[in-house]
Amino acid sequence: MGVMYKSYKNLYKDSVSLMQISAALLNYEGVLNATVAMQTEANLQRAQASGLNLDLKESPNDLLIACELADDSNFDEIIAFVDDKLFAKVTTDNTKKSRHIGSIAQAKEELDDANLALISVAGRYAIAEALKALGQNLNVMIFSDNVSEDDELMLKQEAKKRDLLLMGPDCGTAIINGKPLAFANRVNLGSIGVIGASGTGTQEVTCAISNLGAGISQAIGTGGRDLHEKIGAITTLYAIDLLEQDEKTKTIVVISKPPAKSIAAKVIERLKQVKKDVVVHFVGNNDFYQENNIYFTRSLLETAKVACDLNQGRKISVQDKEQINVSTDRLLKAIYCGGTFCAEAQNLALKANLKIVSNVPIDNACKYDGNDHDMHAFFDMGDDEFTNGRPHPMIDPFERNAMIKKQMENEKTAVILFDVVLGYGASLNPIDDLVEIIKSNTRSDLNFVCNVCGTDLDIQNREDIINRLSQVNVKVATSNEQAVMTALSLL
Amino acid sequence: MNNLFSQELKVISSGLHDFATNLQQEQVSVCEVDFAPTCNANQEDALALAKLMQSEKVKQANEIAAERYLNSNPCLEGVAIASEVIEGLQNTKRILHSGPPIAFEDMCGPMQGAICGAIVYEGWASDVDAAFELVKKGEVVTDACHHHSCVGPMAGIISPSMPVFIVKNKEYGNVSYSNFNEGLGKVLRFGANGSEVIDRLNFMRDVLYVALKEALKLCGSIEIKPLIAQALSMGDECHNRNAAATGLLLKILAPKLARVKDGDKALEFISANDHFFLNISMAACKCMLDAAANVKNSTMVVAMARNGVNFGIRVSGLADKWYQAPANFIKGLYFPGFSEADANPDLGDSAITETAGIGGFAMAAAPAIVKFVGGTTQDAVQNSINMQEICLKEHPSFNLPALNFAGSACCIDILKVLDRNVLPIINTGIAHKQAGVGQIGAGITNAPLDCFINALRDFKEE
Repeated sequence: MGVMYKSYKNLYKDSVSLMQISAALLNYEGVLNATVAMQTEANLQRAQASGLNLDLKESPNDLLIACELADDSNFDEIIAFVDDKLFAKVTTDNTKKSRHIGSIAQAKEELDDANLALISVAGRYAIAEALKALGQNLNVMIFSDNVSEDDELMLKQEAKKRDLLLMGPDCGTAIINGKPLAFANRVNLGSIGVIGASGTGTQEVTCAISNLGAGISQAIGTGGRDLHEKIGAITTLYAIDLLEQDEKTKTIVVISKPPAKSIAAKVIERLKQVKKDVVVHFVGNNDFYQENNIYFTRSLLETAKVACDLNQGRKISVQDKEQINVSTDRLLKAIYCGGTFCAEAQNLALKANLKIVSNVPIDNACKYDGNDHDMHAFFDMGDDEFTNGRPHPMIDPFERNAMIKKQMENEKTAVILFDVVLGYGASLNPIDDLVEIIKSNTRSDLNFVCNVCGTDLDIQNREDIINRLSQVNVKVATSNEQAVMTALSLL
Repeated sequence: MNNLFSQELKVISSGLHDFATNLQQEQVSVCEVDFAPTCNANQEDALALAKLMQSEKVKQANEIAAERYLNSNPCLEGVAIASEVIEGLQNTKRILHSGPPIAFEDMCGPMQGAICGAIVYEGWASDVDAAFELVKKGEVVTDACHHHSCVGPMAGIISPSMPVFIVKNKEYGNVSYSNFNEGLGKVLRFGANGSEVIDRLNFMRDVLYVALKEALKLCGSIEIKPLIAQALSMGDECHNRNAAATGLLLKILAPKLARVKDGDKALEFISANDHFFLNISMAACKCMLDAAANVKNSTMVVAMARNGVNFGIRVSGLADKWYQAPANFIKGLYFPGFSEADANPDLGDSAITETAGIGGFAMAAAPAIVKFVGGTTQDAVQNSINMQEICLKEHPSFNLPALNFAGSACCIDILKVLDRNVLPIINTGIAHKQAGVGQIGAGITNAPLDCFINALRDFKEE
């Protein structure tokens, strides 16, 4: 169709606006080359140089639209398109964009009286972010895992220097000033302060305390390695300081997976100086005893019970444990979301002289190598080995359900033991798929036993979950310990 | 002792969105961080950044550097022939160029063309081809303007017999220089080097310079900061738009030029070029920022400059070293007949204006050119607001009417750039990649992230 043009007399537009229109016109279908410009000598020369042959004289007050068009295009349409842009009504946008908050420093500027940073970014980034949060004078909870022990030590020393609380890394749960952080349950508030070096252990104890009618003042997570030799219980000792001084805390509970001996001794020494009752549970401890103000317990449930008794001024009542001896070819398959539950279950099974295998073995349990060799098996599905890049099974129970299905297919499986963890952070529909899987069971000699960790205050509602599980003949226990004992008795 | 338990819990949450939502359901005040990995997701760099952010020494050093910048008082003292005042241009066939230093063979087309043009202008070679041979043989050497207290827009060419502005810092005594702005059309700074270019350069030396020299003697010292401040309230950002500032300067110069020989020609020349003030603005910015350079432990940026191949920054606490990355292309609008395919990457020392908190940082002041940044005045305001994220100060006298007269953000901190993932924005002209074609558009670009990461890696707290 060749070069076409149109001039508007005495129409002035600034060159930048016209360049924008030119740019739009060049993208218009069928436009091979174009310019929209004031008809000045310079612009005519530019047009010429770009291949638009126009036999026009300069006329600087006129606006020129010139374009080279493909054969099938319609110049009138193109003029209409340009007119729309030339004479468009300007709308003013007075809405201020809200600030993009991409860093902790910016967040602190926005919420200048913030006092805690909850960090759940990927572990490799969490160290720097936690350090920045400490620099902003914030207490810090690091939910992220995959932080090296050296980095953990560095962060904890920095926090101590600044008189700040650093929970984690790999701190899954905490309740601060009554508010649940990360994976935490809604519990009754009260005057029992919990220090937990394990996530689900803390959840189980805080839920049990709440379900037993007492309440929580604070639940402080330390991260699973705090009682390692290298870390030296920096956070645990700092948390003891805080709870010792906290007037709302009458009773202190300390829970940990098996600690380094020397560090445990250091913590116990410190606790002896506290003028409050203390309950200590190191997973794997098999004796109930008292030293000064400290009560050592044998299970998470017992920990909660003793703490409630002390807190409410009752006489402590602990039951003697019955010794179960199981010798049978019928197998127990325990499939856990909670790591501490898995450890506690192994301990109880070993005491019953079971030969067991686990992906996270304790004491003389065998290491799982992809095959459970017809042994009693204890799986921590939250371990990296099983998450397969999916979220933790508490958030997404898919892999856990798949494992339950797999174990159901093994004829030697007599009991499937599992846990359901409720609360914030956990799946909102933790058992929907599982109930269907269990319903599909046709074997009358296969039993299901479950512990539901949660409270009726939780969004998922503990009572409702228990009812639904009971309807498909799952034996629901009131604690992990009880669930394990029930499972063992069914072998 | 930590009194967390006696306060209302208020949380900053970085990471899983659900955690923030859950807390909000429990009536906790939460500010959520939209986290993205810093430092190109390099863990070591991110940790080094976090550690430096803790440093009190760095904070104190930045305060000193920023104060020196803010206290500076750059004044136009006069004009001179470059070799009279710049030691590096005495007794040596040396030509200065924009950006970080670069070997001649690695330079972009416009810069090579401009250097050859300057050699012809100096009379060291009879034509451009001969000039090319001279510089290839090493008989003419090149160096960065910044190494000689100079700055120049685009190719930034300063050769010994070119006239320069002398800008002196009345507070600290340091001096900086810039060449004269040639105006539009075929010009050396875009790599043109034909006879009309040389003729214009000759005119600038033989007529304009002589008249200006006399007129400036009559004016006495001219403070530059008030001119910039005034121009910001008149629609300039003093990088891509200098219409108001040039007018203000002309107002001072005109009565004096009217009294000197060839004053009419000088007045005509200046009046025809809205960007005449740009080079003075640049020299003043350089002058203020040089005063903030070399403060031990300071992470403040004291120069950003581009040679058309690489973008370089200098950081106060890192002496005179350059930290470089490939220069970006410019997002912008093109003159008819040109497109991004014709464009040279980012070029020129003029990013010294952004380093000093004007130019792109003061975009809110210049609604007339906001369309270069893709749209509305609101976008321009937003750009100026965004730059507050990465700066240590708001300038007390460079006020932006559109931001309720808040000061323009100034004193860029590399730590803030990296922590907040916000890059300095730069308003700039676009040069054709071939020497001599000239300006083909204008737009905005960013300083590349890698410059800041490279500087971070070299930074050691002392």
